[in-house]
Amino acid sequence: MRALSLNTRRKLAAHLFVIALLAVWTVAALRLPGYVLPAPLTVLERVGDFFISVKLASHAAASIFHVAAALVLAFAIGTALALAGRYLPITRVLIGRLSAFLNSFSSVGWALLAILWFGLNDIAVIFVIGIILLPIYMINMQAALDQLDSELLEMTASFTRSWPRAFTLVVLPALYPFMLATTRIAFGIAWKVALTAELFGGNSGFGFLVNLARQDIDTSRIFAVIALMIVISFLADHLLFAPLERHLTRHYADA
Amino acid sequence: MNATPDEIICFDRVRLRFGGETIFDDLSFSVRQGEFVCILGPSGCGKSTALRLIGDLLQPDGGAITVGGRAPRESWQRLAFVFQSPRLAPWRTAIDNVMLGMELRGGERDGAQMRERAEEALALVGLKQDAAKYPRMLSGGERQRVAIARALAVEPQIVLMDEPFSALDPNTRQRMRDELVTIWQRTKKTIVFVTHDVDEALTLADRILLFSNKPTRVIDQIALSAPRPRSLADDAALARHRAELIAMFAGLERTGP
Amino acid sequence: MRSAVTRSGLQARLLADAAVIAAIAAWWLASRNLPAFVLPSPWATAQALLRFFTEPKLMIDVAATGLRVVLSVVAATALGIALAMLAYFLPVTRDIVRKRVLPFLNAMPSLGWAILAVIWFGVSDAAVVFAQTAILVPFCFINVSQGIDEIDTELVEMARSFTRQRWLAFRTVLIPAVAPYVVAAARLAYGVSWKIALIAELFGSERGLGYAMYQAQTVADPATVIAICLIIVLVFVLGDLLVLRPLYHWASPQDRDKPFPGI
Repeated sequence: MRALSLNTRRKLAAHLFVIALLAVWTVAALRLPGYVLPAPLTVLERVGDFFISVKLASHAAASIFHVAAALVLAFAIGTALALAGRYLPITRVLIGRLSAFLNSFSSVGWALLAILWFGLNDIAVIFVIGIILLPIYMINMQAALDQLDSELLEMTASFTRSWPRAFTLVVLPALYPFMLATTRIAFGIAWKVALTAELFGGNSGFGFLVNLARQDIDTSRIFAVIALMIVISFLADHLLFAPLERHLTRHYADA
Repeated sequence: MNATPDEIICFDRVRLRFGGETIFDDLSFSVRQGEFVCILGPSGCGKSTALRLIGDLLQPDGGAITVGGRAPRESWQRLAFVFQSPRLAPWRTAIDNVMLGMELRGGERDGAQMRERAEEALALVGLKQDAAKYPRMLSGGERQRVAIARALAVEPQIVLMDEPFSALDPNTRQRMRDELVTIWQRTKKTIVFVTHDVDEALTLADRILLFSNKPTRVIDQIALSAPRPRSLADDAALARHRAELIAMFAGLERTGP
Repeated sequence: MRSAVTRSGLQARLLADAAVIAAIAAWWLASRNLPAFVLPSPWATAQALLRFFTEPKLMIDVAATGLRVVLSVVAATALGIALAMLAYFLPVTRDIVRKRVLPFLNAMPSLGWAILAVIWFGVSDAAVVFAQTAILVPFCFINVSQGIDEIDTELVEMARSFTRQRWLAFRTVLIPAVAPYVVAAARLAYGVSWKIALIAELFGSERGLGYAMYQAQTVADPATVIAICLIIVLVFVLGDLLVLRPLYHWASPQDRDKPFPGI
């Protein structure tokens, strides 16, 4: 056999794997009832529904809105707390306790509590996603601040005593790569939490649709929603986060 | 000891304890305006610490320090540091890095004026054509030159240099020393240059302050009047100083910190 | 100077403890002004918590959930190791594992597994364990493969210079080198599985904490909801301290003074 490079063989194997998987799926779907395993084409059709039906599309938009809002809030509050932890030593220990506590609480627990506190609405959903993302930002941004090049900071101190200037000109730009990396991780997690949050606490979004589908045993709708979520996650990662991260890494290469 | 009018830096019986040990017990010396002074001493003797005291990055536990007739906390804006490593912001180009110093200092300068000054500073260190390059594209010597340009661009009266060439290879080091002398002669700044290299001190300085081990004091001051550029092998006086300094140094390094 | 730092560290910790006490006090005050079905008082929550140590049905719930957690952690760790070994010994499969299987498993929402598991296995232990295992596999795989990546290739070469028996080289060098990462993977999986157990059990079983929590919510009993969350933290910490940490120290005796890796 012609010697293909290992890389090429790997990629080929990956593609073949997907094709084989689809084939097995199609054959299995023929032999199993639709509510156990819907056929790939059926799932594709149901995904297409989201582009045709305004109602379904608005649910998709609602989920995107929930995720985005929660990300922004968690980012802002988490980074602010991390900064407080760096410059006020007392808050640092508090943040440690807080994030340990937040981390250990299950997302389902938060979802159920949020319904009791906020009712069945967008606020409950955004709260649940946000509170799960918060410790991620707190811990990662704190680690980022700890890792800041102390020599760079001393050089900055030798030029200025104005903290606002030092922050905007040196500290903040130095944090960009960390902010992006954390947001990339948080984004992936946010979608999964959103499903849970919306299933319990919402009246809109993918989670809400999945709950209805579960009660109706509409497995193809469940597959379709999951597929759509995975595709959105994947696209965002490949088209948004990965290029941004590459761009930043080029700029931030060790000087 | 009161500062005479042309003494721009004055250390009077300065004391400093740090990390549980006494660094300075009774440190006194002065630097005159426009001088090129080298602080020479074995590793770990607190030479870099002395620079940080001048620049108000550290505060002494006792004694008096005046810079330009005032306390360091009031005159730190009159000086600029060049550190052992370039400490450039990796996300900025060379010229933006030079501007960073001015942006941090603040003041009412507008962008165009800052940029002009940055270009002049880069030209002074011979990097005008590399203004748009990022630090990772520059060699170690070039990055250090950007750091020097950054320091010069804020128009300090005093430039504090902490072993700026020690991380470079010998050839680059030699070139950088020559360039530094040229820049100094052109700009007439006061330079306090820390080093542990005897030859470097002899090549560069108007006056060498020899620092002891901790608790550090000035154990010798050597004034050098040989014209620059200097050749250590050809000048008999320099060769003599060299032999003395090396002997003293060896003694210091034997007794240890 | 050092004593000053320790003093301020102690101060900070005392202040943080004081803040926690203050938070509990605030909780108590708030719960007095709000109906019990919105915010239960700390006392009511503590009482709910106590029931888990006294009522048999609730203790069975904890045990059931615990058993499923252990099963799924073991299964996920085994699968993670299997996938990592596959990618290592059959290099051609590396892209399949890392660029197809893993991203998919990572992106799949936990609830998706939980719901599909019930559809496929009905309301049963199998459904719960299946869902939990599926969710945990990516965590385990990433950790173990990180361990394999970091195996010092020079060490492997050294081992192979002493013996041609691949299995012997494997046993003496690879396994001890990867062992800490496997334990770290198991520890991570253990921590995560307690949190997702609730999700997996919500629809999948009539015994277990997940179902108990869902029941509590439908009868507007937030004290029990909170109590269950606290139980989970407790049992997780117990298992971690009694089993996983000692296991880690046994697997990597050279890291005795280093902090425990992983989350």
